[in-house]
Formats: sequence, structure tokens, C-alpha cells
Amino acid sequence: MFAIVLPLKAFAYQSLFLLIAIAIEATVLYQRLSQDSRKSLDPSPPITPKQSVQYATSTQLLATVVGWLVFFMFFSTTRILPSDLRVALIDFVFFDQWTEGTATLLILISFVTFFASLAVNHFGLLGLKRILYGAPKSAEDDSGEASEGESDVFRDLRKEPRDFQPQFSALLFANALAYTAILAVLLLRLLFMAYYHPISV
Amino acid sequence: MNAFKAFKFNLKPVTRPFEHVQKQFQGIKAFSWQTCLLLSLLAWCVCLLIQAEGLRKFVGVFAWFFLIVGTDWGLLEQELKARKADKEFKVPLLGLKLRYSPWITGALITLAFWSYDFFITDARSALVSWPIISLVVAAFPRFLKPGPKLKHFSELDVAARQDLVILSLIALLLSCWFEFGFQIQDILQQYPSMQADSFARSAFVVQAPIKNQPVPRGVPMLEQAQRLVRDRIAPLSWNEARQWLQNIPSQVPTLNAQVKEAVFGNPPRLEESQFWSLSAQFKEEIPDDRLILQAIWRGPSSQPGGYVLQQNCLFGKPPLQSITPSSGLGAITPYRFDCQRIISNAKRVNLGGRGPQENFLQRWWRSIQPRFSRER
Repeated sequence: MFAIVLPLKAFAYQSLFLLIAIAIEATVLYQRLSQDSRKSLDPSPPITPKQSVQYATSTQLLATVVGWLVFFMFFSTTRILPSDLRVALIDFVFFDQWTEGTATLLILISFVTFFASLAVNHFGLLGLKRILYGAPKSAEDDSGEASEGESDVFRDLRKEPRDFQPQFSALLFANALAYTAILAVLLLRLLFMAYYHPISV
Repeated sequence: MNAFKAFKFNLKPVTRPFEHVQKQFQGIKAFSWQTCLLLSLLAWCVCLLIQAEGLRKFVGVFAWFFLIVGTDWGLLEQELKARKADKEFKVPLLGLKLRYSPWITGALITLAFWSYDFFITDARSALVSWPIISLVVAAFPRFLKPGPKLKHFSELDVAARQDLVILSLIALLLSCWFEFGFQIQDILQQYPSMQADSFARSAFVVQAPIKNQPVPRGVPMLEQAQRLVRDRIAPLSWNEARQWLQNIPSQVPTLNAQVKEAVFGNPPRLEESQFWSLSAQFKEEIPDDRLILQAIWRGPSSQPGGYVLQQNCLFGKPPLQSITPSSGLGAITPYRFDCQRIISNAKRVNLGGRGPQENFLQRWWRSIQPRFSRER
């Protein structure tokens, strides 16, 4: 006879974080990247707000799915983890119990997650543009850019670091803001739990 | 025809429903989704009549096929009508149009695969593969060209590609969510004592309160320990029993091993057996000596550091009336050994003692009240 235990809270929190991250990233992308394309050697800027929302949705969803897959591969509870890590994970998931070791591990994981999600977002956005608009053209078509107007021109991959830097910095700013907002939500939750469900020793 | 009409005239209220059904059937065009569903129904009836297993499966394939195609077709037509009347369902913020028909069709296909054990064998793989199959169902129409060819990916336009990307990511996310839910169930299977605990502080899971909440494994451990001790001291006299009980700390390892073997099996079936341990103490008091049996839990729990289940057993001389010379009644133990109710220092663990006086709604309401307003 099993109790009906479902991770509905996890689904709700994740949806909330996704919505926050998508909203923030869409705004930042629209503000930062909708400049005149002739000034910087940018790839196609998301001109319309709708496009920026779609880009943000795609990248954030991709980051979430990749995160889940990593979780299932490395932290899945089918005896891959050593026993004490597993117990700490179970304690954390089911009972919100922190030890010092858990706290440091979580902080480390958050750092890694931030930079990993930044990388996934960046390359995900590159991949998305490639899927949407086709493979990058070769370097000799540089001169024809101004006449193309709004259409998208991709640079050769060896020029990538310079050309994609506005996109990268926009993503960095967006991710930092989004993570700050998520931390604020978690802090609120911490206060709420301390008030309503204090740990009784 | 006129005679028929005259006949109908007299029996209007009776024949009206039949007329309705007749009109419905006559309104079905030959090449439509209703025909498909009817074919499926026919195939199911044939399936019921056939006894041979192989032939049954063969006809079953057709039945499922017509059912799936029929529902998909019907739902598509409904969607087209809604699109013309501009009544589609839109997600407000993102402007995405949500279609529910691929999910229903995907569910039917998943059920079809499940009934044939075709890659899908149980509820877990069914739920996890449902979003992916729905994704294939939703994406497939975009690749169709007139004639029996399929479009290459590069022939789709930008908006379609973007939609596909977002759709596939959402489907993958749902699959991951379902898989996580099943992994939670796996953990609970290995740690059943956790179900007796309260998950109110958890950031991840929610527990629906059920009537018969399980008790921690410590309870059968204590019962077994008590029984073992009782059996052990039964043939002894009072003095010998008392001596044995006084030396009980030396018996603890064997008792521990025996009790765990009885409750968890050898080798242990459950992972949580490594966190349970048994301890026993004998305290000499007046009027009765006390044997304190403890089942100590050092694993995950809502109480930091684990909790202890304790049972006090009183050991003393029996009241005078029961000292009778053994006269064929069998051995009467010359002492008393009563064990009391199990108590614990864990505040939120269910020990089975609370009767079903309140239903689950009342318990849930009580559990979400802030701490200071709850009576203790």
C-alpha cells in the first residue's frame, strides 16, 4: 500500500523558475540585440519581441532538459552514488534537511550550474539560429551584408568569438538577473518555511 | 413511404429518438472519421468473437489502427472548425497555440503499444514515452507534402521550425518530469519507513494523506524483539530470567541480527535496513524491573539526526493468585512480562496508534496550520 507521493511541488517550482527566466531573458535579449545590424557584425537580431520570447523559451527549455538529463545520468538514485551522498540527497529532497556538507556541495553545484547553463544557452541559441536560418555562409560574403538588409548573415565559425560577443554578454546579463530572481524566490520560501514549519528538535 | 409517414404521425414521441439516430447514420459520409471509428468498433467486436490468440492479435492491430486514425481525424476536423471560428486555445503570455489533439492521439498510440508489449511494458515506460509519441504525432503533419513524399527538414519555414523546437523541448521536459516521479517512487520502495514520516517541509514532493498510513519498520522490529525475549526467558525461572535480562547488553548483537533478519530478510531486501539498529537496556526499579527496547533510526527523517522508537517492558513477580502448582495446565510462567505501547521522540511519525477518527481532509487541514496555533 503506497502513499501517493508526487513531486508536484518540484513541477510547480520549476515552471515558476522557467517563466521568470524566460520573461527576464526575453526582455534583455530584446533590449540588447535589437540594435542596428550594420553597426556591429552581428548575426540576425531578434527584431520582434515575439522572436525574443521564442528564443528565450527555446534556450531556457533546452537548459532545463539538459539539466534533467545530467541529473538522471549522474545523480540518479540507482546505486551510482556512494551511500552517504545518496542519503544526503534523500534528506534534502524529502525533508529539507541540510548538513554543512550538503550546503557546500549545493553551493558548488549552483556555481557549476550557472556557468553550464550559460554555455548551454549560448550554444543553444547558436544552434537554434542555425536550425532556423540555415548553415553559416562563408567569409567572402562579408561585403554583401549591407545590401541584404534584414536577412540573416552568419559568419564563418573562426570569427565567432568576436561576432557573437553581444549575444554572449546579453545572455550573461540575462542569466545573472534570472538567477538573482530565482534566489529571491527561494529566500522567500526559506522564510516562509521557517515561520510555518519550523524544525522541532 | 406515405404509409410510413402516416404511421410515424401517430407514434411521434416514440420514434423521435430512432429518427435522430437514423439521421445521424445517414449523415455519415463514406470517407470520414465516423466511418473509421465504426470500422474500429467492428474490428473490436470481431476480436471479441475470435478465440485463437494469434488471430486475435492480428485483428486487434486493425482495431487499434482504425481507432487511432479515427480519433485523430475527428479531432483535426474539430480543430479546423474552431480555427475558422477563431476559438482556439492560446497560452496568454507566449502566444503559443496549444493543440490538445496530439496528446490524446499520442495517449491512444501509447496504450496500443502497451497492450502489445511493443517497447512499452509497464505504466512507467508508458507515461515517460507518452509525451515523445505525442510530439511525433504533432510534428508529423508538418512534413507532409501532396503526394506520398515527405518534406525534408530544410523545406519547412522558420515559424514551423521554431514551433517544432519548442514543442519537442516541452515534450522532453514532461518526459523528464514523469521519470522523476517514478524515481521518487523507487526511493520510497527502498525506504518504506519514510512514508510514515511527514513531508511537509519538502520543497519537492507532496504527500496525499491516506487513511492507513504505514508505520516505520521499527515497529515490527520491536514486536519481533519482544517476542524473541519472551520466548527466550519463558522456560527459565524468575531468578534465571532476571540474570539473563541483567546481562542483556551482551545479547544485543545477536538480537539485532535476528530481528533484522526476521523483518528485512537475509540478505536485506530494503536499503534502509542499514539505518535501523536495536538496543536493549535493563533497569532495576521498584516495583517492577524494566526492559527498555529501542529501535533507533539514523536515516533520512523530518527529525534531524533520526529518531528512536522505544518500548518499555515491565518484568516482575506475578500477582499471588496465579501461582498454582502445575496440574496439567502446561508451564505457567512464574513471572510477569508486559510490554507497553510503543512511544517515540519523533513528533511527526505515524506509529499506528492514532485511530481513524478524523478523515484525511481534516488531517490535511490540521497539517497546514502554522505551528503556534496547533494544540500540542
